[in-house]
Amino acid sequence: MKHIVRIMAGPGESAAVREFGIEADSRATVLDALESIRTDRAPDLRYRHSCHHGSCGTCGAMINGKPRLMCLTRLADLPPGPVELAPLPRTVFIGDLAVLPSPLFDSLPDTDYIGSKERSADRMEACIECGLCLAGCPVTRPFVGPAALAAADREREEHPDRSAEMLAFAARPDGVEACQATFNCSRVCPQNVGPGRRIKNLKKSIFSS
Amino acid sequence: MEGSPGARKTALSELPRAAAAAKRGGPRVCIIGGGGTGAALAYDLSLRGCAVILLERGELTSGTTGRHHGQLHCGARYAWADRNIARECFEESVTLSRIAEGCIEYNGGLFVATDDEEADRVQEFMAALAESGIPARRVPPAEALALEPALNPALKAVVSVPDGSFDAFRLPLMFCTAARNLGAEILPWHEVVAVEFERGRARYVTVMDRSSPEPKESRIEADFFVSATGVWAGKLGSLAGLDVPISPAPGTMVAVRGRIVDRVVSRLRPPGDGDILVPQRGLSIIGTTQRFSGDSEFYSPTEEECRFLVSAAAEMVPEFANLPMHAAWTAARPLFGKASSETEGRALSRDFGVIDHESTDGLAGFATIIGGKATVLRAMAERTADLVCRKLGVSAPCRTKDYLLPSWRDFYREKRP
Repeated sequence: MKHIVRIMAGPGESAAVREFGIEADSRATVLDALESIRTDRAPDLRYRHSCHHGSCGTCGAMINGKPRLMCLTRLADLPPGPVELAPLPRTVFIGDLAVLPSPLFDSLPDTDYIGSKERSADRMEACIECGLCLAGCPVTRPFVGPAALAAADREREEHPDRSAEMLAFAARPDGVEACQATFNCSRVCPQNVGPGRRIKNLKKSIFSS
Repeated sequence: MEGSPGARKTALSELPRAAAAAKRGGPRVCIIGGGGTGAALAYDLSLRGCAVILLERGELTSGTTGRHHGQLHCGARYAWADRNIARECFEESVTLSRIAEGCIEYNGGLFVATDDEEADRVQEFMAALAESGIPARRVPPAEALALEPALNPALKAVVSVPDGSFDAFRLPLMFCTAARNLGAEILPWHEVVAVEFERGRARYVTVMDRSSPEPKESRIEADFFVSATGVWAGKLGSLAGLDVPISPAPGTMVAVRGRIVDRVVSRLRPPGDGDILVPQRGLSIIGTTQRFSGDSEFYSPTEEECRFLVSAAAEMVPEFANLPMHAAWTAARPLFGKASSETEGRALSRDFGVIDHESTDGLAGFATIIGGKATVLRAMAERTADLVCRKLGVSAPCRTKDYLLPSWRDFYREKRP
């Protein structure tokens, strides 16, 4: 199948546009398309990628205006017409689709990465720190963001001894009270972390105490 | 017991940040390649007092490293053919489980025999494991099914070993963070485009710096260069006029949604295709296949490989075939050696090699590290750093086993919340 991939190489309206026509099979993802474009035609094309199976969280981008992981988005599942790609917002722009995710990592509290309380085995936390929730969040005032609050709620579940600390984190002026409860974060999360629900949990605990 | 899952939470001290000050003025080493090996090498050399700069063409771990299925190999898989590789794998898996907390699910592994022919080899396998120093135990099938109810109920024999799984992105980033905390410069989006010599010695690389919207060219001087470029070792070597013995061997993996087991499940037979099932967060991953290819940069899975892998997984864990497909992808192993055919490729060792280009090609100040497996990244770095330090007259020993690695989150962090 033939596809047109249109890359808005930067944030904002004035970004340079790079357009490529490609031939791809029915299983090909947006990331596969970029890999083949870079290999054959544009060796300087910049985008982040690592695991290619939705585990590392590096390949987030705006795909037709929505934050998604490029490695899990198949070209064949997108509506007909050009596929429009833009770098993930709320990041530091590097070039083309590549960004530095520092704002996300700056927001995250120190939490445990391996959850084991309710399980018999080690298991890494579901959140892959991809930043899609932050990119999809409509809040414009200072806000620590959905990923950080979801991590805080998860941490007090795993480690009740840190509950007060995590609630204090969530109760900051840029914490849960900035959330507009649109639940966009939960809709765009590729891991079903449900940050919206986690923020609701935190609000409940804060207001009842 | 050491080397058994559950043995984590060892009290290791954190890296002394003050050590950073000590390295100023040390010999300059430039590492080319930001995969697992380059990352571990940057840390090792920084700890030994070298001034390290690491250059990576794209994002860190965007080559073979990140696409690994994430098995922390205890070495059992290799015990059939090579006890030394198996032993090293075991030692390294134990070391990583101590120094890299937070990116490893250390739940153990089960080797399952699904027919009589495989079951007949249990004694041979147990002997190979014992000779490799890998703690293993025969588990009665009923007990194995109680531990992992999704296993094929027709299984004939089971051996339990200390395998695990790790996050293939986070582990290398932890090494990068540790290196940077010691003063190393870790530079993704920096592509080496030329190597320059002075009196038979590598002295400069020309770099295309794409780390900001407007790319610019720069020149970096160093006392020693190491290519840790994996499947691109041939290409990078050719910039220096070298013929590097490397064979890219692409393999495909398939992930389904649903964590069907907690332990790594492998086939109880000598290594082949589609015989490793790795749980990772909420996914189950089956790997892998092996082909041999020329020099293409981008490998994609074939329909046939995916079908084969799903059916191979179902022989060990039948439910695998009913879970929704999540992703299929291909990664190229960088095998050490030159193979011109499939058969020659299969015969290449999984061991790694450090090539000192002064002794092989008369080019001083340049080495290439090739081959190996993700689990032994720290050991690969140690062996490479030993060579670099010998060449540069640095006598400090390897200390990468001694400290807890910092979190990968610190790599991108600019401030604390």
